[in-house]
Amino acid sequence: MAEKQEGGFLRNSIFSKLDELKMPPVYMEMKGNAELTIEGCRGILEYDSLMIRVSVEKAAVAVHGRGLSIKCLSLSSVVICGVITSIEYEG
Amino acid sequence: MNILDIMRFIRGYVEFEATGSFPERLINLSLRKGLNIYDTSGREGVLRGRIPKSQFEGLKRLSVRCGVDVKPVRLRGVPFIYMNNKQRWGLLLGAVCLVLLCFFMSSFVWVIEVEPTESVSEYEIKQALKNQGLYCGVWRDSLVPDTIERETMMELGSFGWMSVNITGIKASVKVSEKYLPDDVEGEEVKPCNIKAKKDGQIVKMDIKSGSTVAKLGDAVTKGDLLVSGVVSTENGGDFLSPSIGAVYAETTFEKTVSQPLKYEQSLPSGRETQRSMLEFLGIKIPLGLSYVPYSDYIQHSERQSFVSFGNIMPAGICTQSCIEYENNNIELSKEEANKSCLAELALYEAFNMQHCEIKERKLSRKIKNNAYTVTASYTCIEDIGETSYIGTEEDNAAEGD
Repeated sequence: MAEKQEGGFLRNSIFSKLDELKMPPVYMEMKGNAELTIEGCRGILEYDSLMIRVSVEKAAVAVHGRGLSIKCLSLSSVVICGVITSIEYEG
Repeated sequence: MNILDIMRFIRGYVEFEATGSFPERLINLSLRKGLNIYDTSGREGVLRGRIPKSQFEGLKRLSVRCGVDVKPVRLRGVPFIYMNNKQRWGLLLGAVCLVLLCFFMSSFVWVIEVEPTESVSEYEIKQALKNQGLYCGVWRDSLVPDTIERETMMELGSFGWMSVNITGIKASVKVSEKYLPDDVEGEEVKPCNIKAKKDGQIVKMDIKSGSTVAKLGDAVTKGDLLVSGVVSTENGGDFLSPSIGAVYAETTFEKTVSQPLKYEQSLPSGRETQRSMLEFLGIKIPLGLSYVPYSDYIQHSERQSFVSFGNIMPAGICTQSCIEYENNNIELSKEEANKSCLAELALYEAFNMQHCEIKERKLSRKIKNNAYTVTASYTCIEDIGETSYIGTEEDNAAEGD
């Protein structure tokens, strides 16, 4: 039983170190200037056809463009489509 | 419209408009509550979107918490159509009847798709399939594809492979012609003689293989040996070899063509009647009151099937053209009859004497039994050689069979 606890501790410490080294939990992918997928979003802050602001880990991402709309939305990801002209990262 | 849109339409949905100080919060909260908002668009502080009918009440409760005013703009889908029309029993009955009719009609084969081959047309294949019980409007469960394939292949005889697939109301028939591998040995490498197929006088010989028997200037008759496949060696032995070559001879023959000066011929009168029919599930419904007022006619039919989303429908327009023919007594002058005979001779020369070189042609004309007759005497130079294989008696007997 004690061995199991030690093993668990070792594993937890390794994973915690890996978590520190891990990339920030926000992942963005663009298909040309027509579609943007943001994974790791926390919610919608502003929604308009000219700008969509999305809350991400300790920051916000503002997507500017024309005819913007949310094509798909879930608790942790959002797909924005339209003519994307710029993306701002508000740290 | 994709399958998701169809499902949403069946379940019913509400198009809403959210106005207020912070409508984006409504999206975030509804996501956390598991409400499925889709097709959203935001413009000038107004958020538009769609939500399933069953979740709209939940959205309204959330909107109070967000301080957003939510208004339904449009109600769409089957539940709303039903609610608006539930007093109309006729419509409901009609819908039920339609579903039952669709279910019943899907038990028949209505569309037969056939891929024609080079040697057999689509019509021939369809006729053969009809003889085996596969036709438009047949009860689907009564069909046994394996039997149809086997019997149709036996009837048509020229297929190497055939497949009948029945999917829903459609029967797809795929056929492949027989593959005949080339003769590995080849005809030319078999030992053979060259014999004369016509009477004539030899004027030129072009022999590549074999032992020449006839000589230039010889007069030969039909069946005479020209080139022998039995070749003698210097040592006094014999061996069999294929005889390859051409033997040209001057031949003479006659061809007679005649044209009656008075005869009866059936010709189009110029009158034509067109009838269009709506063909639906094997039933033909006339689209007009026209009928065929004459007895002798030739009928051309053309069918155009309706196509929906790339699928051929079991309905179409069938157009029939009936052209009247009537008997005419035709009298020809000598010049006209002569022209007709010469035209027939020209056709004969073009199709039957294409490998001959015509040296001389003498024409003689006469009128006998009220018919104009032209006799052409040809003197030609042509290859009179005919391959005759040297085989055992068994082979010859087998060839004779």
